[in-house]
Amino acid sequence: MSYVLIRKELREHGWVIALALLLGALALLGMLEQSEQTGGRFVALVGHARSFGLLIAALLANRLFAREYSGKTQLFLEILPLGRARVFWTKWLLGLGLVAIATLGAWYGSLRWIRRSEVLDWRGALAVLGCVALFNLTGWAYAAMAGMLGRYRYLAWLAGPLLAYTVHDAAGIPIEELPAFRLLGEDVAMARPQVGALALVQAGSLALVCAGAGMLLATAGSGAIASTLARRMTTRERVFIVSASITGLALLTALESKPEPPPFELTEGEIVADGLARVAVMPTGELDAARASELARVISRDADTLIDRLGVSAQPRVFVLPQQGLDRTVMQRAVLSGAQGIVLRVAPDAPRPQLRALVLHSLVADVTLQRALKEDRHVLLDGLSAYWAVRDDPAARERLWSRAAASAAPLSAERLQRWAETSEQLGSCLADASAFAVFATLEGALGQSALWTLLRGLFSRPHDDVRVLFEPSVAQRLQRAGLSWSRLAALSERARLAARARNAAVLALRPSYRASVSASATRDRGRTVAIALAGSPQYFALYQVLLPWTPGVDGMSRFDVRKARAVLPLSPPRGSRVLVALEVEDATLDCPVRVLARRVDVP
Amino acid sequence: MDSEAIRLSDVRRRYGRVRALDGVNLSVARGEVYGFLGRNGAGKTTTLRVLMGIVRADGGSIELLGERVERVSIALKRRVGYVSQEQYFYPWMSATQLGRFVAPLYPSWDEQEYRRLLAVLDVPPDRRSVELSGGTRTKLALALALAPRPALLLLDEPTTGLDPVARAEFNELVIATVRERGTTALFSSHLVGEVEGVATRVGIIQAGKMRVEGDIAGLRARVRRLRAEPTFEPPPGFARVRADVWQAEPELWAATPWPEGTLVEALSLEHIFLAFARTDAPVTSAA
Repeated sequence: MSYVLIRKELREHGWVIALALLLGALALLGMLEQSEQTGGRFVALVGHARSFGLLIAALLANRLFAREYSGKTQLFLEILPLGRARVFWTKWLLGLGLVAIATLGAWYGSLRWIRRSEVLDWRGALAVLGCVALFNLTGWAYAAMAGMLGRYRYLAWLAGPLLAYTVHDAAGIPIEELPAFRLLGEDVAMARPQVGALALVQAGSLALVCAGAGMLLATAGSGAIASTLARRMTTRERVFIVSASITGLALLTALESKPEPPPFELTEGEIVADGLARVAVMPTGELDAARASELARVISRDADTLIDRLGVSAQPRVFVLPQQGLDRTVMQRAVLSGAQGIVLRVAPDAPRPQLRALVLHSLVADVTLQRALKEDRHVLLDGLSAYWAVRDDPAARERLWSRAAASAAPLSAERLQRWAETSEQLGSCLADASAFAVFATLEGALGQSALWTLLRGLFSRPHDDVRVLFEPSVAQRLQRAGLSWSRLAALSERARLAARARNAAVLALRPSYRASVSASATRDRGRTVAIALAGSPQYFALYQVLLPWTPGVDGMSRFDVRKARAVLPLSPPRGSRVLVALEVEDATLDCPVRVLARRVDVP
Repeated sequence: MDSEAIRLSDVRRRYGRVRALDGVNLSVARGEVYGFLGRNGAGKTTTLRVLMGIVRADGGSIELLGERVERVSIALKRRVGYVSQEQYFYPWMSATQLGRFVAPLYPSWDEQEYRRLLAVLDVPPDRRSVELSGGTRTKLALALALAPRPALLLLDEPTTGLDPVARAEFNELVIATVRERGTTALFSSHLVGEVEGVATRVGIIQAGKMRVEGDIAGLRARVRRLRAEPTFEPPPGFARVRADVWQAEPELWAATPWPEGTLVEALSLEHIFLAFARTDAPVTSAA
């Protein structure tokens, strides 16, 4: 320590320090006033340490270190009998002393303020002082080190908060959990510090490292590093920093986490919450309370086990609303605008495996932020949902195999990768069964361990920003597992043909169907879409007009037909396209089978 | 007591790839004014900064005021006065305030002497240093360096930028102080005429190496110009410095029977400096 130097520093920077302390005190006063409404206790002190504490540290570092070097007065000090290390430590300890005074003042002020309305024990208050003081010490050590970086000090001061923000955003670690910032958690603010030894050691180590780095900068290379860093920036450096800052900001904006809506609030029916999932099935006339509860339990178990297997972070809310009058195969998911959850409207006698598969499908789709639906992993999502719903039911599994075998179109790599298109052609019954077949084949080819490793990679929660571009594709993941799309398709097709052979007798009972669809425009009848199906006395048509701005196939209209030929009850605009699918209830397969699906151009 | 105030042996210092000092040997007797000549970037400032402890040498040995030092201690620094080429005082401090700031660091600080020096050098005591001219700031630096009555004075091109009058005043004060107190002074400059007027001995440094060292009269006796036939080779004992400039012991110059038409010319210190300080001078020219 050099008292001569301390006197000089206080004389040179005294008024700035006094002004900063005064402003800090006024800010604390304002924060204390406000904290009475927002939180009370040491909330203001903690907020003050996070903001003004760091600002005062940065200001002191700027005055004590950066100005000395940028003004080259350090060269004058170097010719005096002082020594670089002594100069550095004198300034460092002076800064620390001033920070300590500010900390003590803020703490004492806060304590007096709090004690006007509350009784606080000294032990808790002193523990708070210890936490805040250690935080401010760390802040000062970092600011001092940054101050020694000369023209790059601003970058270092920015880098701290930027790093904390990035860690928070990328790794999901709250800022309060970061080293040093852990000392200013809510427990400290509430005067009940529960700071572990690790947090203290982390902050202390950080302070030591920063102090050591500052000292190194001051003395290494006979002080040449600090002197060089203190020089003015070149134009090239300025351009680089501005460009890097813009890039960083752009990246930060891209990385910005999106707020998630709150979970859907279950209020009706018996709520089953055996694990992470909370499920309720509304009892109705056809579905009594006992059966509804049993169904809820099954769905809950499905969801919990799948969440566990996939290792994803999810606490799904599921609400099933049975509604009379709905076709048993029609299942509708409500679009929730302000909440997260799976709300389904189904017929009371809806097939259980399909309902369970839909819940699982929705669950995984939500976890993957709907990405699983849009990419070539869609087939695996459909397959996983169908498979998981029947995992303990061999009979149901064999029924799915027989449905998969009923499909006339062979499975190819292209059809698997363009699953939305394939599903449109096959219809949900055969498509889900085919996806099940693919998934079951995948399980057989990889084995349980490799299968779930693959699935955990595929169905984990993805980044909701540009980082998703750097994620490996499904093909790459399959390749890592020792498979390829074409190999998987070939194996699946082989298994499907084997299933066809196994179920040949049953499948032979199925009638054959012929269907057609055409659009025409006549002067007297206008634009019409005509359908025809032979082989079944009754069938139904699903249709939807596709306009250029129609986002996707969703909510198709249903038209029940009891004659071989019919005209769809719609007047499509000229030049539009209409997606038409003709389906029949297949008694053998126990599900509606799509006979034809076509997008017809309206003349 | 050692008779030498400074002795540098094979002192080396690099700045990255640049060899600022490449084995410098230098000795300065106590009480003498040593003129340290060299071109810009020759290594003068680095040598002085090594002596002042501002820069650490990479190798070699340093003896300062009779002490062999690895690192210049604070105690030793208190006995050394230093005036650099440029002055970086705190702009808000006046000469009086600077004196007050510096004084407690030197036990031997003589406040009366400081005031006298300010008066002699015509430095306004209460004007902020930022308001002083470059010359006045240099004179203030000299006053600060002399007030603690140092045993050794290191002057690093102190008169650069001073007008002739200020330069003369500065040099006169240095000479007077040295004579009066017996202070040793190492006066670095590239202005040969100035050094010639102040120093008793000189050394010429070039590219981090000492080329030649000695008292001025001795140097002039040793280094001369030889005008002769191009094919003429001087006898053994003569070393070429550069082109027609040769170096040999004075007795050898006198004893050599020069052929008809050969002309031996004495050189000024400036010419000797030019011969040694040119970068194309052969390395073998050092005495």
